[in-house]
Amino acid sequence: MSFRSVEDAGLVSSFLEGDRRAFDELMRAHEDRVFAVCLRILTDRDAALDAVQETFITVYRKAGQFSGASAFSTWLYRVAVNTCYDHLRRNRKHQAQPLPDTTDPADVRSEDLLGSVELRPDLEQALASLAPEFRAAVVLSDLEGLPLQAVAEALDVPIGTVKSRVFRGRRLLAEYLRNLSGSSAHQRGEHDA
Amino acid sequence: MTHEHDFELILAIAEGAMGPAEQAAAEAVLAPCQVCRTDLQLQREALAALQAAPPVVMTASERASFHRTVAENLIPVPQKAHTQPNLPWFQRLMPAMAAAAALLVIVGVGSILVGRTAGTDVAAEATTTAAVTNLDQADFREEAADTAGAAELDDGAGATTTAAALAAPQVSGVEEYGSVSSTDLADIAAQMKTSESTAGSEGYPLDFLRSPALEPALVCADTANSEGRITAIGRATVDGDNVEIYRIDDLVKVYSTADCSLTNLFE
Repeated sequence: MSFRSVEDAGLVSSFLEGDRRAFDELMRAHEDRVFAVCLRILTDRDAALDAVQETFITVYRKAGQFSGASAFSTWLYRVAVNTCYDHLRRNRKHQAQPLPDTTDPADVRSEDLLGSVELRPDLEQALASLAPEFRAAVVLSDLEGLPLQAVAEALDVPIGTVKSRVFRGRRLLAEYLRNLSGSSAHQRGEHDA
Repeated sequence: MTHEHDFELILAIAEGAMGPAEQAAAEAVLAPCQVCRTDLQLQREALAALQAAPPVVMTASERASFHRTVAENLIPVPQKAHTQPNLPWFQRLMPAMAAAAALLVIVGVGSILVGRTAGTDVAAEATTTAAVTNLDQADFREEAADTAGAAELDDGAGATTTAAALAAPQVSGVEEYGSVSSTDLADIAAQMKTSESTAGSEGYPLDFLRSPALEPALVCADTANSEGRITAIGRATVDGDNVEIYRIDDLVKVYSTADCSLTNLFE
């Protein structure tokens, strides 16, 4: 068990004994990663912000149901992914939008990072093209670096299903990127000619 | 070579999960198969693109908005719901009953001693006994409330709570559809979407349905993590899989009770 997991377990315990500050600490420790997961799955900053808010409100209300059988972060990701799925279902009719050009000079931490995100709109498009189930598996495994077993627990599916989703998700993503780069090259060729 | 069966091997190679010798041997296994080689290349390309992706964080204004919204929506800190979930009710009542019995003995012995020395003060004894009885009832009510998962049992008038009033919270309007086909399920969902609410005029708030002592027991109410209200509930067996059907706002969601995974969604 990692240091973070041990610390999380202690914070959950304190929170359940009535220490509200423990919840705040848990939230601050995980809010960026949960936001990243929600943003990658929903591909829309406003929706991701809604989802991350909803996730932590749910965690606050249901912390007593956290059994401790898995790491708190795994449980948290599960709540976040389910919240994102709910958002996607509710807004199915809406087309996924690419990441907007949102920068906030007041946040020194995020300014450069957001700038660099905009350097890879192709990846954002490729991720958005995946079915939500594949996207969630790829995001948790390859962007968040969760072990496959933890991804399986977070998605509440067998590990074999996770491997299959990661495999197929990556394949689709690479094919999309290849097509995108092929069409860009083609367009460049036409332009040069 | 069957490509469908090799994806785990391709995953392991792409992720570099093996030692060099093992990796070389595994790649040699895939070498004769063009599809496998292409798959391996695609996995590597995807991984490279994903691993090069920069992390994302909230902006300062997003973070402020997030903290504000969460803070506005938090209710008082929840306590751990069941510290002794597996004990039967009479065992959980034992400490309270023992304390009440001890108090009664003390009061009884005390009043006998007082009666022998200064005459019995009947009124005082009656008051004390009544207080002890009330204490005992209060403990019983607290325990029963915990057992039933009911948040509020006090009728507000201080009347004695009867055993009947301590029953688990009931969910009315749970429709039993029995064994149905997938087509039937779609029809049921369509019917549920247009029918009147079977759960009161405003439906059930999700918090109520999450009560552990609910009757009839609902396995997946907890999974329906929507903010809406549930206005119809059904249970059925679809192709041998027991499911629970919830109408939440304009959606009808079907959950397998085996693992509470969402099996169908009707919009």
